[in-house]
Amino acid sequence: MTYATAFPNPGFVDGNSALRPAVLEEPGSAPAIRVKGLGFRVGERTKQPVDILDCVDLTIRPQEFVSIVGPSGCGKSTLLNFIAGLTPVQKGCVDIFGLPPGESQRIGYMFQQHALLPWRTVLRNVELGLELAGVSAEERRQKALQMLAAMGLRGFESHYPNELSGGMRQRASLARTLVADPSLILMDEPFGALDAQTKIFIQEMFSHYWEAHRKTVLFVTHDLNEAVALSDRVLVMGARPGRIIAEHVIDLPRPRDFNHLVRTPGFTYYVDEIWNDLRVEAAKALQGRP
Amino acid sequence: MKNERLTIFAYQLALLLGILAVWETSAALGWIDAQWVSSPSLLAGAFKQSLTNGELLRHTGVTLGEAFAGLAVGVLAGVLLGLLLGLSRTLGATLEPFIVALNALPRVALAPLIVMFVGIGFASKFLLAFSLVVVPMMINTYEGIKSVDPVLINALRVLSASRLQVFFKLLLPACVPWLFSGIRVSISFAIVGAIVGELISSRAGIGYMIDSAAGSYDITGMLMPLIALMLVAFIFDRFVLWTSDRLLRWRETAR
Repeated sequence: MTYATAFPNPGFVDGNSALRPAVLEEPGSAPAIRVKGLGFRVGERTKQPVDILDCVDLTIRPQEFVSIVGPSGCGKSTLLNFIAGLTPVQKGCVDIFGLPPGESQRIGYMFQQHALLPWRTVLRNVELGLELAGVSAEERRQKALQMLAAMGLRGFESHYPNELSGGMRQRASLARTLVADPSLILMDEPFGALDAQTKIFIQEMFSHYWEAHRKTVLFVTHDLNEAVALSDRVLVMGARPGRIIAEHVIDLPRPRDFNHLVRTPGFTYYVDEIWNDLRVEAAKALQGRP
Repeated sequence: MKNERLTIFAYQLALLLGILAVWETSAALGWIDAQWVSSPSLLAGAFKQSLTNGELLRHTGVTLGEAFAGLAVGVLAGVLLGLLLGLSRTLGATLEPFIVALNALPRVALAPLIVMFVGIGFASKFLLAFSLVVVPMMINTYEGIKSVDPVLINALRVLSASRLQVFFKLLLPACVPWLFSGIRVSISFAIVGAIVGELISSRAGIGYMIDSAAGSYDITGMLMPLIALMLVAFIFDRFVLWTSDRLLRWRETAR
């Protein structure tokens, strides 16, 4: 299957680099995500409270693809949970398209685990979000089938998650996230648990989807190649307490061809730069462990 | 696959026939005293006689009635209590040690007490069966709720599911495998409850048949109703297993 058939009508993907995020920055347009002074502390009443997040500031523009990299345990997932409204904000403020987190209905969240319901078939899993939103059976079936086809899962609609490979489950999970057509997609190491080949395949598939649909994406990963290959901008998070310590604008042309991209000097330059920022933090994070 | 199942079934049949054959020949050749251990042919004879005069069916019916009433009400109450515990974290945590203690209690030993409270009729057997069933069902349901992966709850929450939707689309279906394993254990528990109640004092039921046969040293008369009851419970368990296999097909992995 080619991507052209998977995502017909790619719209404004025209092969030049005129789609850089700077173009999207219109004065007065509300940011997709605005986080200001976000702090999070656990064990407040114990002798040793731990600051998980400290004064995190970030702004994501609509239609921007931003990745967050950082050492393990730096609070990347915690940050996503705040933005998704899964954890109530303690300190600081978060707003999503101008609304408090949890009130915006247009968020999709994809986890590292596929998080599919094991007793539902792939099709019924993909329908889940629409079903919860009260979309009619006919319509949600139609949309789910379409999305499954786009994810290359045609023929697996009536399989249970148990019967699929890891890559297929993750694609089903991606289909479930995308079928509701969210304007903001949060992704927490969604391809982290996949083997190398499957990973590249799904990354490329998702990259093409993104270039055709231009949703706002906040993507957490520890894979620097993945971050650079997919993103418009990469934020580096520091070790505990987590905060944003560096920002890299990835000035690589789109659409991106992964095979070609990883061998270009520009690509390796970005990966090296980000690794330089990250190395110190990763060492710090390691030292803090028993 | 099919072949393997057929082979296993053949082995099972051979094992059953082997046991019966050894039992029967030992009794026929006088190696063992049929007076004390009965024999398949004696049991078959007693079974046939009891079946024709209607005694066996009547008493089995009484016992099964008590056991299944206890099972049905016990399962219902146990599931509701388990859900309640699972849904309210405070309630669940508060009551957990009490439930464990209740589970550790040999509840059959409550039988004399229950008979004293409600008399020797249907109620005492029903209550005993109920008391044996309700605790494991409650614990199984509670464990089922606790076993739900928090990622799945979050996945539903980000899809804007209401609390009610989380319950019906996630928590309840997640409990189903636990309910089935609870029900399978409970079938034999319910029968134990009914029989123990009957042994203590009763005017009908398998326990009554056993008790009166014991009074006249009739070993065959004691074993025959037990084996009949075992067969009924076995068939019912197979039925539950078959239902659960059909409903839980999603648990099978791809071959």
